Amino acid sequence: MKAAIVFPPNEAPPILFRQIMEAVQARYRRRDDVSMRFFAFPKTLSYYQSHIDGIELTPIDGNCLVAFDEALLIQVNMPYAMAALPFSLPERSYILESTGAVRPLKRATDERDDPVREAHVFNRLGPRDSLAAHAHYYFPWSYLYREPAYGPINEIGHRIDHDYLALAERDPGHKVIACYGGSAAWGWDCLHHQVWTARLDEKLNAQAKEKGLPWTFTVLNFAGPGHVVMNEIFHFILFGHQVPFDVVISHSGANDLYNGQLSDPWLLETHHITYQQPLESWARILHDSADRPGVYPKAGEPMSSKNPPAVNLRAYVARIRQFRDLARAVGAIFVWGLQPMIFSRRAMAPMETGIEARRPPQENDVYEKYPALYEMLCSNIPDDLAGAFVNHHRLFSDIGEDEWLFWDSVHPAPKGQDRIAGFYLDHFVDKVFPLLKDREEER
Amino acid sequence: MNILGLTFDDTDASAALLIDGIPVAAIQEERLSRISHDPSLPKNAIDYCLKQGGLSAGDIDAVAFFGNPLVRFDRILRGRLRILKRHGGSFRATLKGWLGDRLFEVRSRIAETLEVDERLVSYAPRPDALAAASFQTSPFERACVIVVDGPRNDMRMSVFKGADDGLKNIAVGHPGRDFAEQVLRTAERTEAAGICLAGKAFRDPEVVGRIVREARMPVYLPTAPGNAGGAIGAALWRRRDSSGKPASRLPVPTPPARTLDNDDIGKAVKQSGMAIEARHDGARELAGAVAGCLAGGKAIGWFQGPAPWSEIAPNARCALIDPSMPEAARTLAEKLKWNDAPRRLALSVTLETAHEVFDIASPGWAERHALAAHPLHAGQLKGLECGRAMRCHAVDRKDDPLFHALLIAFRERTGLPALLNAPLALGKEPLAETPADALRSYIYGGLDGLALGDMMVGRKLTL
Repeated sequence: MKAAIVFPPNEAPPILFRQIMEAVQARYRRRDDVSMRFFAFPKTLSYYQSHIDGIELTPIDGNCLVAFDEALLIQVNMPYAMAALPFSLPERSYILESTGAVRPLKRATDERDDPVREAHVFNRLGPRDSLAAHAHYYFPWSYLYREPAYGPINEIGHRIDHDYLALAERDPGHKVIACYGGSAAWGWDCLHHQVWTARLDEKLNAQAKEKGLPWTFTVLNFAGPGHVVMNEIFHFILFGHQVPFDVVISHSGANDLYNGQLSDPWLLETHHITYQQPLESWARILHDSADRPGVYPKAGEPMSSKNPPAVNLRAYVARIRQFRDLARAVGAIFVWGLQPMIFSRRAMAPMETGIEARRPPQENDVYEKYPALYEMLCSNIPDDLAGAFVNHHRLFSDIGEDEWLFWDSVHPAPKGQDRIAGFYLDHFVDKVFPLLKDREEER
Repeated sequence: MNILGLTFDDTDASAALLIDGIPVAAIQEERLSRISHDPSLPKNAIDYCLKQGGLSAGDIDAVAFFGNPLVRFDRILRGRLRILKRHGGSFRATLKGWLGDRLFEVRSRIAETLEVDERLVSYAPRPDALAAASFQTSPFERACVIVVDGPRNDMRMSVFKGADDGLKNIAVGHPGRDFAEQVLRTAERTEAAGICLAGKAFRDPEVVGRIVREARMPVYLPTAPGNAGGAIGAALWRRRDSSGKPASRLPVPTPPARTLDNDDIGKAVKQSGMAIEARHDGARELAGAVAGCLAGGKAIGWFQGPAPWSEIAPNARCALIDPSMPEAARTLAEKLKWNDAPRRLALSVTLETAHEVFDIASPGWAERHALAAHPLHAGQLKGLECGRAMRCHAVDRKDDPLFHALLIAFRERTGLPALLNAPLALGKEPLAETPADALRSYIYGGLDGLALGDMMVGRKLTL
């Protein structure tokens, strides 16, 4: 297969080159039949040639890309997905974003981009009509979300690239860690191998090897964009019952405390239920009730934080406790990580400055409430959960401004993902390994 | 006769209800909708007023709307026409907005909302309504009533003569740049017993302070002199005597505030999930406990009793800090997440000690409601610049024994005669109306404690 990679018409900051080149490598890593050729616009050719070693750049002209099987058009800051381009493109062309996301250009995702999307009926009935096919979509047990732009996902949308059900039959020394959470835990804006779950897998196995521990580890990422802890529980129940997990991690906080500010006050206070905005929209469509008021503001309207903060926190902690009890009931050790956010940083790296100002203004009110909610949560962690708690919010506050940790207010950059994995490793060494040892002795 | 006064479509929508000439309720929509300066038709405020009056919409005899939409449109149109060549888009947007949002159809929108006959709705001219809101609630039998209203670049000044037989408009014009001076000169030419001020321009405490200091007669202004006060002004303007003529002057009290007791507060605290740190038995004990926290350098939220009909409520809904602390004003502003300079800040003093802090002889109505700013001359307040003008909030023991006791207790502990006082409003949110609002401001802001009724709420939470 012949692939053309086209550098953008504007000068991208060199700090982004590594992520872009990793994305190119990750896309073609598993194929040995790929020949790649790199192109640049004449006006930026010398800039990219002088900054990137080991590749030869060809100036782009006329129909030079048509002969390729696919083209990746690198896009940094200057969107040209909808623009008329001054050259012809192969049918399979993609935008490669600076985060590493690869999305089809001017067409919806198809089966070559997402090979398992027809695996079951709720995928088949899911969205097809969007250029960015990623979206919440209907699934009778919570919802589904597919985003193949960052690397392989399975039939459910989890970032798992192998048949994890085979782990049901495994050696006692092979420990399986199931990880849950929202888009930050899923690894939004990071490539498959950069996500904290992949990093934790690598670190745990390296630690075991180095210390001579009798275990190997597999870390599975069951997170889903938008998930609150209730969705984590649903996915644990639905997709975790066939494989006995040794450890369950809920890497959460942002989505529960976001939706908890906005969702139905009665459900939140009485039953600790919080949910995402699209779920109200679906109710309107199903029951033709668009004329009746919902609780969430409509898409694009200002979000105004309204639920009492302590009620919001209680609902979150109640669901964490429930998840812990469910995990323990099937013999797993439970770990609760409070995900870090941009405000966890005491000092911002240059790439992080301005992140908060770039946020959609209609969400400002809700985002401005996060720091106080986090502070209140961290100062009131219940004793029964303290041993399972990993406070990434506090741990991130000590990291210096020389490390670029976040893409945006919520989603960690690759270095941030690696830091998260490192903090979980510390918790494993300190708290989880002794428990695993105790269990083996009991056995 | 039941009259509903309304103002909306401009900033600070509000509603007020008069039953037989007496205001029984008035409230700004923003306090209930929690949308700052909410301009929308004030459905929440209407419901609140009707509930307070024990009425339903069908019991309303008359509705008075503050201003006339056509007059307002005319003013806006003239303004837009002046800049038409440069900003044609803004002109089109204005027209589209007025037509799309039915801003011309105020009568029918009110009639639809209340389900009443459109003929019950009348338009109260803005200057007349503002003058009524000031003069009819003032203590003066005869007064020079001065209304300065309108947008900053097109202000109008109307002068009324207020007497037993009502208000008579005696002059209209554009005020000069130094309109405080103009107010003083105009008032001096009349034989009035006092000056009544009204209109948006008198929301500026420095202007009010200067008039108060330099006038040779007492000065009065309502606690909501701007748009928000228009609802009660419109209702008072619409007041008629038994023969159907405009009612002669009858001093009316400002409307009572929403009743609130410790049970309401207790319920709100319980619902919030926050823990009560301490309960204090009696004003003295509570004042002592809060003064102790303040003397220890803490910033404390103060939520006591009902929220009055005013744009600020320095006695009832405020955040307090020791003014001698370095950067006290900035600290308080940061804890409340304000971006702007603290023009809303006041210094609270007792009526007896105001002269120790401010360059004024004796505090009056404006000082009791923190509506006037005066220069400071207290050297011991390190956090504040001497000579700078600041809102003076003079607390009369008779009006508010609890706040007075707090100031005394603070002085006993620190020797300081004043507390720095900020409205209890988080960021750009409106002033806290309910205990739940106060708890949100407390939790989401950085205040160190909250005195909510007789309780001190801490930051401990059982999750």
